[in-house]
Amino acid sequence: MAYTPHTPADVEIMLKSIGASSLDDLFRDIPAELLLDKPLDIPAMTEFEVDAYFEERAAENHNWIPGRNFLGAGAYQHFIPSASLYLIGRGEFMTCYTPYQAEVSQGTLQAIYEFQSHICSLTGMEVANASMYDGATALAEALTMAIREKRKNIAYLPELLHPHYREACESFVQGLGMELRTIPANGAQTDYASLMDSIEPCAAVVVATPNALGGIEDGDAARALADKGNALLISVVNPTSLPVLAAPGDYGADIACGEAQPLGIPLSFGGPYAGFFASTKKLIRKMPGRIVGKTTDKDGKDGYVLTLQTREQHIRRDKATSNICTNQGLFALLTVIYMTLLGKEGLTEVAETSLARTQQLADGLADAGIRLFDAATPHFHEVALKLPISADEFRHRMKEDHGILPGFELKNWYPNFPEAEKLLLVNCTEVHTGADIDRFVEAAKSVVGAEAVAQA
Amino acid sequence: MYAQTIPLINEKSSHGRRGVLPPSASEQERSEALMRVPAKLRRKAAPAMPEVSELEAVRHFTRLSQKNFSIDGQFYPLGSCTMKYNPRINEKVAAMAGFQRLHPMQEEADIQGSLRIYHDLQEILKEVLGLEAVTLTPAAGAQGEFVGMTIIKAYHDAQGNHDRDEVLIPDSAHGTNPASAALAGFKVREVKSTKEGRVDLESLRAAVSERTAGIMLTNPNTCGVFENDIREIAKIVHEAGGLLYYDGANLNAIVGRTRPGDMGFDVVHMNLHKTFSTPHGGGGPGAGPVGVAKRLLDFLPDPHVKKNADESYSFYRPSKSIGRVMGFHGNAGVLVRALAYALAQGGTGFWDVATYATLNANYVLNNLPPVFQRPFGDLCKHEALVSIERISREKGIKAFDVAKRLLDLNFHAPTIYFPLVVHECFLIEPTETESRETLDSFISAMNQIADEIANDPEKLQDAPLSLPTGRLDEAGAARELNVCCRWDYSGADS
Repeated sequence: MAYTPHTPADVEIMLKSIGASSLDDLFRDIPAELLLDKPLDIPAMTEFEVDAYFEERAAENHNWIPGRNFLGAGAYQHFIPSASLYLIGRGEFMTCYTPYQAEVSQGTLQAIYEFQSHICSLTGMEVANASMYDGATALAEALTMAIREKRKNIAYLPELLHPHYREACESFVQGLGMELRTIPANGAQTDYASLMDSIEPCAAVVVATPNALGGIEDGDAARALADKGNALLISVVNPTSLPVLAAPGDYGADIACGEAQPLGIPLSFGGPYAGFFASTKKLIRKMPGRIVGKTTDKDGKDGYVLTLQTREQHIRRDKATSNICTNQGLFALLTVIYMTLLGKEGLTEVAETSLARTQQLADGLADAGIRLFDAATPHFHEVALKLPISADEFRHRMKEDHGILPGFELKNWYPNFPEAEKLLLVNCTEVHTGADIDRFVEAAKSVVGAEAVAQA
Repeated sequence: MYAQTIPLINEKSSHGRRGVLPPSASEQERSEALMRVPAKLRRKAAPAMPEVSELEAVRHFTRLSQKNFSIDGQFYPLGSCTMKYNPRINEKVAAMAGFQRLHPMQEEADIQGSLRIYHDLQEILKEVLGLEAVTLTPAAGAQGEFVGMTIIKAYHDAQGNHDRDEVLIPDSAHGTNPASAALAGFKVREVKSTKEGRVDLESLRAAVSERTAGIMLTNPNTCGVFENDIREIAKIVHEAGGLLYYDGANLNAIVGRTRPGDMGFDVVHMNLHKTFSTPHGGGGPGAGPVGVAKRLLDFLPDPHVKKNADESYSFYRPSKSIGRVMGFHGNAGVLVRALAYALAQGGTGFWDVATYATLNANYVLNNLPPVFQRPFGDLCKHEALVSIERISREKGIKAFDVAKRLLDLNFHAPTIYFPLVVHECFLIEPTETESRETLDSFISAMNQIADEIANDPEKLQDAPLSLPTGRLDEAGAARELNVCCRWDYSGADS
């Protein structure tokens, strides 16, 4: 079903007008030995059958009830207002393209301008772009921007940066000859001070806060290290945290970027999400990706256009600031609708509730004799537990006996940490009620019971 | 179109007004939790954010949507973008809770349905491309290009050929090609086009050397012309030790009728938001899967999906993988939509896609008024390239003016000023989902514009005249940069 409207009469009229003898004749410029003589051997389904195929696939996935799922590790469950998913489904938003013809794309353009404005407000930065693919690639782009700005090819990344981000950055910068070094961790916090005497002049120092273990970093310490290396400070932030935690602009970050998924984008097995990217105004001409600017039309009315396009690939080609073309427009739009619907107070409540629930869980578990990997470091909405049994067994029993997905096994990321096999990363957000937290604590008590008591 | 200027949402905000209420802990619980975070790590004042009711928000974005042209509303013949109908079954299945709530880090036993979707889509795309394996991870065409070029680099490095640092790219190529090659660490060497709009074989022979890592080609190319010397091009590049990269932006012209793998390409990216009907979303998300020939299998990005002997599915890291290229494993929701489309097509559907896309483009090419000249003959593939260079010199009318006038007549403009090798050009891609009647009305609009060029050229230079927004000052936007509104940083009390 090719969704083609052509009747046999249409085909006849059109072929005649073209002067072609048949539909196959339209392909006479392709060497005969390259043309297939019949359609590919792929069966076609009716719409009903397509629907049924996906019903079956969906049923083969384990669809967790939000309150029973405590898995975070870079993608986070949040309440998503119904109106937001409805609005991005409107054909006028969903089925248009990049706003090259500004006069008939003012809706998309103004929405992106509002996205850029909200991102600037959240991060405390001066300018932002229209989105990147995701948080990991946004950081990779930030590193390449830092190379161009500083003309150095070393960058320092924290050990507690999400390991997937680190790996994506390695893939991204290998062609540019950039060397990525590591800032060591001390518990659940990065030890910026440890490199103060040894840092070399470099392109960038990265701070990720909250970090891969949920720890809240000290932006001032990161800024001090960046200054020592005469480097840009790149801050990777979870936007959910920004209504309550210090913003990148507060501690003088040059670039702030990250994953916008927590701003109302469904988990969707890892994508589509949207990366956000903000910087100081001074750096805007080196920024990757599309940027919307406000202007006026010939009658002096406000309007919006894509601007500073001379940075981009379709004009600068191999000298462009990035190769990015298609970005994640519709999902940037979803986040701006989310921010609008939740508003100033709602976003603050989400941040504070995520913080509160995580503390409640940690407190409850401490009472049960289950300790944190690092109790001294303040955490946002994720925390590493140091279990008395293996995290693998804990997860298995929580799931099978209590119907709870308790988190992520950190031995997959940090196999060299002491007793790594006992570390479990747990995330709480506003989707978890007090009762959900209590249920987790009770279940955990029964799973670790005897061992915890023995150790306490 | 919604006619009024729409104020920014912050201009509509009132302090204390609430929209949708999220689930929340009590005020006491929240403030106690906050106090346990050291003051220096906390934000001093909440950031300014909109404060509007749910209805105000819905109305704001509904009105914004009404300021857009879209495929659902208008003929949108943007060349190289394949703006075909986006079937709603794709949206329905992608929204199923079993996909939308699936966490990317869930264990393999709990994600078998989605892994099978990856596998089934990989198999179909392999068949469509005529190649050995396909990675679904890249988020868009440009990222697919970067992944493909990085694979080519890794392959040459693994062979010990570290000196192969040049990539050949025709002067008609998409801008992403040279940008992606440069990002992967290559030097770009341009190859000239012939006057028929094809790769010049003599320039190509002169350009290849022991430095050649590969060539990036689009076929049919950006002039809408099939590179019928493709087998010879492949021979020249392969004999020089290089690999062939296929930019799949134009795959819609040939999908199911001829295969890049059979032409001799080693690496191919395709744009699922073009050929496979997933919505463009105002600039994304897309998906840019990359197919590779057998000798490149081991270099694919991490993770890759395979089917096991016991019929289960799992992720694995190929042995010489170029590594991870996204935070997780790509735009999974886009892949669901693309598979829904592919399943609905089958082999016969793809055959029809290429056939009718080509029929429609040729119908437009052969029925435009003579002022729109055809630089490369009267047979094109899925897009028609025409130019007004001659009349432009006489009358001072630009392709830009014609594009803006088309907006007045309720058509989205074609791509203009691309490919770079043809001046004052229009790249018109109708796609297969448009009817003859729609094409006729577009042709009639182009006839009207041809008359206006002859008799009333000022009208074009002022266009658009009938839209709520007139011609916008792009130079002014770049000169006096305003890319975010000035919120009161300490709070939106005003």
